[in-house]
Amino acid sequence: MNRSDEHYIDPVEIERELAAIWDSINRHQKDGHTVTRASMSNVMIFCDGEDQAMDAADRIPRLVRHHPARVLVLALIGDQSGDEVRAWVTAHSRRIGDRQQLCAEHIELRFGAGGAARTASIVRSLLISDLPSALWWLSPRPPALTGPVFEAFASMANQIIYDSIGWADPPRGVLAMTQWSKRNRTVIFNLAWRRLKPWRRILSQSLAPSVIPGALRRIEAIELHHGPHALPLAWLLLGWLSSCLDWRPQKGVATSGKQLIWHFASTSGPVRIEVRRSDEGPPHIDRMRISWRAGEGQAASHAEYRHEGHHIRHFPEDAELWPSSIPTVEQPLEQMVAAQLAHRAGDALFTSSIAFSEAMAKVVKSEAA
Amino acid sequence: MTETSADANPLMTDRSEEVFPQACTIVIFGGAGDLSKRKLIPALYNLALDGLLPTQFAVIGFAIDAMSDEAFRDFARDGIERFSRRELDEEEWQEFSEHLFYRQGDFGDAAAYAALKARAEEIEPHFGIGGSRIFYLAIPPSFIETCVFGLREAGLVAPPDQDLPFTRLIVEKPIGRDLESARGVNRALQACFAEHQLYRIDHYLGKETVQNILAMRFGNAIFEPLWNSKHIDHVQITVAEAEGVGTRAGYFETAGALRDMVQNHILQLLSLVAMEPPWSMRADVIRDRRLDLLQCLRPMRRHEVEQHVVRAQYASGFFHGKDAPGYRREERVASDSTTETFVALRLFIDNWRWAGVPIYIRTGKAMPKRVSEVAVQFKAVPHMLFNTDTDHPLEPNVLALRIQPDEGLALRIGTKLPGPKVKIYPVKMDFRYGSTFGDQSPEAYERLLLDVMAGDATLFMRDDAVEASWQWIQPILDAWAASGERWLPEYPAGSWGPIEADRLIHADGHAWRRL
Repeated sequence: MNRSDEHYIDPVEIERELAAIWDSINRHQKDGHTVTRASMSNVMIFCDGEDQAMDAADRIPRLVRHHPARVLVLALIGDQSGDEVRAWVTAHSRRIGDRQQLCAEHIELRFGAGGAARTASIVRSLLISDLPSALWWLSPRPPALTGPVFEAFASMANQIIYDSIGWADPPRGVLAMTQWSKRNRTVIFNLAWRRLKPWRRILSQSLAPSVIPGALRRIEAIELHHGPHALPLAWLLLGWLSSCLDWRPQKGVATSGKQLIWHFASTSGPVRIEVRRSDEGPPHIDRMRISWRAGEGQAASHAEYRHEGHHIRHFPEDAELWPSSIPTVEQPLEQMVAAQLAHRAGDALFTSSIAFSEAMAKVVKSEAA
Repeated sequence: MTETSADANPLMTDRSEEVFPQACTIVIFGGAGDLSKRKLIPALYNLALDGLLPTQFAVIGFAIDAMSDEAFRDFARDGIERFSRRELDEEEWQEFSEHLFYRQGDFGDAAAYAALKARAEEIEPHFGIGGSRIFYLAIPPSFIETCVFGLREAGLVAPPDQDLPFTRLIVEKPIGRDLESARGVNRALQACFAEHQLYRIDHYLGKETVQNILAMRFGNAIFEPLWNSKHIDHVQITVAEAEGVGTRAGYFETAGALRDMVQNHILQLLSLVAMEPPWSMRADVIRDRRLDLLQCLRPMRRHEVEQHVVRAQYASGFFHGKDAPGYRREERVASDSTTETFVALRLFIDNWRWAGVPIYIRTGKAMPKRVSEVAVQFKAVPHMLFNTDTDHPLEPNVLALRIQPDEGLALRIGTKLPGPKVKIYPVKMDFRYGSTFGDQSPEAYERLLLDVMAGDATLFMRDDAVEASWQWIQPILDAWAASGERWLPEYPAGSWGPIEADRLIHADGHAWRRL
């Protein structure tokens, strides 16, 4: 969205401009209905650069369709002067039956490096009172590693939503976020956790004790293959498994840029986990093989899981069992965020999983050192 | 029900908010019928689309009709294409359809149950289903007893104290057609199943907005202090259907509006609106509170029925400008039928909270539009400072909980009209689920089926609640049976009911809401 200078307004004028937009929409109602504003949250979206601000603007109408909100796009533009904050406003409305309903106000603030504190002061005045505020970190940089910029906006949020997919250095990002979360009471949420839902479901159902007695407790090896940029996803899934199954990470080795090996201790013996990255493909977990040792009258066996199309399929070794599958229910980013905005309380299972992810990151780090 | 430590699944912990449906086979009795096609299969398909079904599941349609697995899949596909809230997705359908099977059988034939059991045992190992089964009785009430005994005799009912594999039975309303027959149905059910294995379904309770009644009452501090006779003047519950009896005439002739709507849907709604706060969201705690409320309904003596209850039948009229036939001229309706298509009544709840607050209920067919709502009208302000003109008094506050359509809630409040004079005007603050949240709400059957798979009975009716509601209804049925009336009051199709219903509420100085 390239805007010429005349599109920008003085930040002081933002509320007045929004009021004018409201008036204008109301005046154009032919049947005398007034426009209703629906707002469930204040949503701040942090973007790195012009392109990402444009991407955010494209996503906002779909975001507010699911979660009406006042949206503030906070765009850090590298080459903009730190003293200057440029503002732009619009509104997103849609028809409900025979009348129009204003769903959301969209405010964009562009600022340069060093302008975060100045921008935060504007944001503070624009947040609608009595509504929860969320910070959606659209930037691919781990939030806690961006220092004052993140702190400036995070202090106003009740919930921080980020996405670890694509982080350049996942161990560092995981450590930074878990440590930040320990120091702050703000709820944090990684969208990767939502993406893992079908994986968590199929693993928990196909390996349930009622289906394969004892398999979960006797796991001895996991082989996981993922696409580019999906290591954080794999990491979180393994964090969840180790948290639920009470495994303790002993050591982790990054044998190459494409392979990580962890050794865990479990009550039934050691567990070896190997994670491999493919050179190409989408950023998701491609396949997984889980093997468990013999015991309690059960033979050693394994199960394979593959992400194929829009499903994750389970291929048991036991010939009597037929393959099963679960849909991946892929949603665009903004829809995942909208769904997450409705869950403002922390998710204890997620918190526990990232704590284990942190423990896993620590052992990998120490081995590398 | 708790799992033993060996059965406990460490990957399904209660730390997560997620609902965990358990691996199971769902056997639909009447699998080739209308309910199966219109509601149950589309509901299961939508759950599959959302990834909410367990990966280990199978559906077996069981009915008298001769049908192969393939034919049942075609039947299911047709149901989804015509009645699902979301379009059929070819890839997802392929996955889903592999879990559908069919077994022909006569409900009265013991061999059919043995064959059903063998079929289930043949299918289940392939899906990793350990023998847990849900039997859904989508059948006429007259078959219930036959089916439950058939299941028991065939060894298809797991011991009640056994956690896994489990057996659960879903029974559709109506449970009986009066108090005695309801007790009979419950006795038959309990001869074969323990109460915790029984899920008596009332799909009204699966609607988002019905569940929102609890959220609204007990999740907001502002309503509950006002939720009593000190502040509430009266309550109106309306369940209006725009259509006549149509294809349901055969059933409706034997039921009538009182049995079809009041005994179950409306009294369940009322119990949620008026019950005392539960101390937890556990199924039995909520069901206890609902039962308490039903037991507080002031019993109506037979001679009081005429004073408090109006019944009527729709006569010919107009609907949306088109001719609409009267009830007695509908197909499969007796020309001298005295089945009521409309009921209006006044009831009281004899407890501390609701003492003296009239509750008005009206439900009918062939009304101007389809609408269900609960409206709570608050008392007038104690002293009139504004609008002192007695011809135009201040309109009281009304909180309307809309169940369908346009699910949501609206609050009518008085506000000053702009201008130099102090003139109060009623305005409506309107919250609509659809326009606020954007997402489509799941169908009631989706939620309810998921709850049964997860073993959550909160939204289902317990035996004692069913009997309590029949207990209250019975004197009305008795009075009507004794009256020997051959003609009921009439209302034109496409109107809001008979003049007698207006008189009922006008007698208390109130009026039905214009919807």
